[in-house]
Amino acid sequence: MKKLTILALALLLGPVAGRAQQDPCAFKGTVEDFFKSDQKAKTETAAQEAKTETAAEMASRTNDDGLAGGRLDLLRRAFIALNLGEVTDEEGAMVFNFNPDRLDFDTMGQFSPRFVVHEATLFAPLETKIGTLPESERQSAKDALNKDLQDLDDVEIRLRWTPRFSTPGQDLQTVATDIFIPVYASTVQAEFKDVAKALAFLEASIQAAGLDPEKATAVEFCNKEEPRKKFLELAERFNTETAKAIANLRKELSDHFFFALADLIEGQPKFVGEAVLHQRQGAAGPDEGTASLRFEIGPRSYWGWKRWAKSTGKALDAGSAQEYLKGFQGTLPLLSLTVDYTNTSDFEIPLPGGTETFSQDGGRKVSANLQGGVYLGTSRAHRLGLEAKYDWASGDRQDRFVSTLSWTEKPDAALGEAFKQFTGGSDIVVSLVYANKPEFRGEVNQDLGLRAGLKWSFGGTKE
Amino acid sequence: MAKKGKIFQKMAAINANTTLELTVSKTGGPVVTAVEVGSTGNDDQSFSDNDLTPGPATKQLNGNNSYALVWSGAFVTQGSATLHVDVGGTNVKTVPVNGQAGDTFFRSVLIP
Repeated sequence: MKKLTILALALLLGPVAGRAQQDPCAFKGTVEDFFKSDQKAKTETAAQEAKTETAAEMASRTNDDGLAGGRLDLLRRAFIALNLGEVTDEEGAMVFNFNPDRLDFDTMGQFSPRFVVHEATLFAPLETKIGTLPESERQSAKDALNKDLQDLDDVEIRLRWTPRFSTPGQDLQTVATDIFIPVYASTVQAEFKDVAKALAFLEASIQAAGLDPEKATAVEFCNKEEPRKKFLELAERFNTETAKAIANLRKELSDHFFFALADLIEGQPKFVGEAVLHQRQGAAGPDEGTASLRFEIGPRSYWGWKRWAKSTGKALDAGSAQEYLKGFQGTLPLLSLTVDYTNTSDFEIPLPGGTETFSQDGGRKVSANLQGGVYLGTSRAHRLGLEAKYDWASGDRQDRFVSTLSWTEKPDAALGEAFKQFTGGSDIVVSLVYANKPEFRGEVNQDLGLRAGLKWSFGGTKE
Repeated sequence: MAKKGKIFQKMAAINANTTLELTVSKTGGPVVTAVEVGSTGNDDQSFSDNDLTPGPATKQLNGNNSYALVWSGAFVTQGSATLHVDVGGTNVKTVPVNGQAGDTFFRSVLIP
């Protein structure tokens, strides 16, 4: 977490601060490259660095475990060579993300396919069974089964579908523009006008010095007196006043609910469907197929804004969007309901030595998970949350239901800091737990009968 | 000599009748942008998002002046914006920007 925070700060502050300290004339790019500053450029740099690190990690992995030239390495190279998408390394798995833009349809919505190659390991119940063998046979049995595992023996094919019911993003473009224009005019326009003019004079001076302003690098035109003078003046301004103006634009847009418009899109009721085919070979375990459907809704949405405007007699314009969003400050999280269905195949494998066979019957499982929460008041200090989970499995007569209603209290800064010193977190959390059978309730601080109880913790949110 | 030739081509690209056309195309978003046209003369001009999209926003250029643009904007949600700069129908330049939700950007563009 600390590393991530430091990395994020470095990414945010690095380019501008770094450039301010170095000699602008040592910059290796063009004028256009120098006068470019935005979050995205930093993100692109970070993404490129991450990509390089991932590539280096994958390269070392292929060398370490002898996969170089193997099927997995061949697959990865083909995937990248055919420009099908990105390959990432995630906790013992290689993930092939197909480019989602290629499967984004106006009428049907977006399809996001992924292919995940897990590091094949012994199926956990099988490993437990081996643990019951005579000690002299255990290690040799494990070694024999592990030896047969190949690099594509545990793979998942995932397909996520996000239907497109409406496109409020298009309708909200007008509102976003109407918020942006006056904010831009009052915060940065004068500065950006001056910078554009200074750039034109810099361009003219580079031209007059006999260089192509679009291609000449700072190193080249800094050898000429007039371009150098103009460039250094503009570079100084860019690193101070212009940088401040850009930061101010961002802050003012935020204060005027420009970025909060995203909540109207994100909060729209939506479904996400996903199908997963998990295929394993040999001792890696049984095959599984899962289908899941998720419904999400936020407390503020484009439809909610329309209903609110209608009920209050307001027009659907920038002013009413800002008023609507202002009224919801402090509220947030989504209400979500997820239903999963999983079908697991029968699994049978002879144990090395030929005397015993491990077998496990297949089965079906249905799970439903409801999550929601609301902040009370106008801050995020008090939160009420609900989580309810229901599982049913074939062959397991005990259907399971557990629900938790939690109250989270965030103390003020001073008290929160004091909590952190002792507990590692700052929140106070009190939860009421109910289960349909006593064995599912879990440990509680205060019994309220066999199926219910109270739990509490100080410093509930670990950081 | 080669450098002089480049200058001549550059100057020849802008004459009394040259028109600058600016268009911003977008995907995803909402994303909003604005352009400031800076000039070595007295003909600076500003273009808002309504001028640029669907565009084109047009401006007559003066062959005696040099021009540069500052293109800036902000993304409400993930998307992309591309600035198309067309000078006299012959010199065309495109500047793409991809952004995530909450991003702002600033680009300098020299008139080709």
